[in-house]
Amino acid sequence: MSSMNGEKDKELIRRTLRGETQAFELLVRKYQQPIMNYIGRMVRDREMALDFTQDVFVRAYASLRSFEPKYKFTTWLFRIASNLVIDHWRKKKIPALSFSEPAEEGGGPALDVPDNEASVARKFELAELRRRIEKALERLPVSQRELFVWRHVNGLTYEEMAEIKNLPLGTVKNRVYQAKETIRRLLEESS
Amino acid sequence: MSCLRVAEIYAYLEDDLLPERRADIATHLKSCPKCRQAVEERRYLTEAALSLPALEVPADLAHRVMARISSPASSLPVWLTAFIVGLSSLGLLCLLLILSGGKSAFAILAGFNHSILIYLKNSTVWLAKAMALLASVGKVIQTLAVALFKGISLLTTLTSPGVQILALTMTLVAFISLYLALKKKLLPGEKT
Repeated sequence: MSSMNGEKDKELIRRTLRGETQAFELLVRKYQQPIMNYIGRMVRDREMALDFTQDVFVRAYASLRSFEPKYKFTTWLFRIASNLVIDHWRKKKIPALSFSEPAEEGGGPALDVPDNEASVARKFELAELRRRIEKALERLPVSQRELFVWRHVNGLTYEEMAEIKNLPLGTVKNRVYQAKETIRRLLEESS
Repeated sequence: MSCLRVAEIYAYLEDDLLPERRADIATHLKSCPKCRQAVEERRYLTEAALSLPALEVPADLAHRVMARISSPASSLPVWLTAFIVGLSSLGLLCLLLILSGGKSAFAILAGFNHSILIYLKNSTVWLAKAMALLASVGKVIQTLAVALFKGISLLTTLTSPGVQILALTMTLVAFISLYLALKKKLLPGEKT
């Protein structure tokens, strides 16, 4: 996201804090789609995802005064969304530790490419491949899924992701690479 | 140069390598079909992932959010809302009763200033008295309960379980006998 865009967001925040709620509505309209794209793929239930998307903005509005302008509004918003998703996993008694597990330096896909590696992706038309990736995402560990979605669906940079998750940059990159390799392996298994 | 590792392929595709390393890899790819295929495979997969469709967002989602934000009811707890509604209803009912009794609204308003002070004074005195009485009763009950508890604790530590059961049974029998005797004595028509 460009710095000009970031400045526009900060101006909208300033206006909201001055009492112009319409300014916050503009922020909601601007970010409802990216937040829904992220939460929808994390919770896999449309109605729940819509509720959570609303909750993200309500929480953001409630704590807007604590927003520090030196950070980007998007990273702040995604952190709220991520915390909400973690709460959801915890309530469902699904171990959320994979969200915050310590850095696995060197745990990334530093593997060699096998000699007879099959070409899986090329087997499918693009639309079918997208459908299969969506299915494979459901089976991805949550820590990898979250970063994969942020990187490929939301278009966040590695630096932004590292800031949101408070993780080393190398760990974030490794997890994204790992996620892609897991998806490739899942596609291989299903084809 | 040896064949590429998976992490290196992704770093190459993301253009996240030093220029020299990137140039080395490009040279290697020209002569290694295995690595070339591995890179192409992951490039295609990444492109597909980058074009995953957006999830549908209802047109009124922003309105829903704004409605939740501007709703004043959400800031009050449920019990407080219920209390306010109940009190208001009671006040309204009293006013209706007074009005239906023939008093004019003007007379009520004129008398309100005077009577409210008297009501307030009286109710404060009664409230204070009631609180003092409740506090005294509470103290007595507390002292009795503590003594009873201590007595029972002492008995249970001093006596064996068999004796405790015997004592309990005897107490129960004594209470039942007392109750039956009193019933016989007090109720008319049952005397023989």
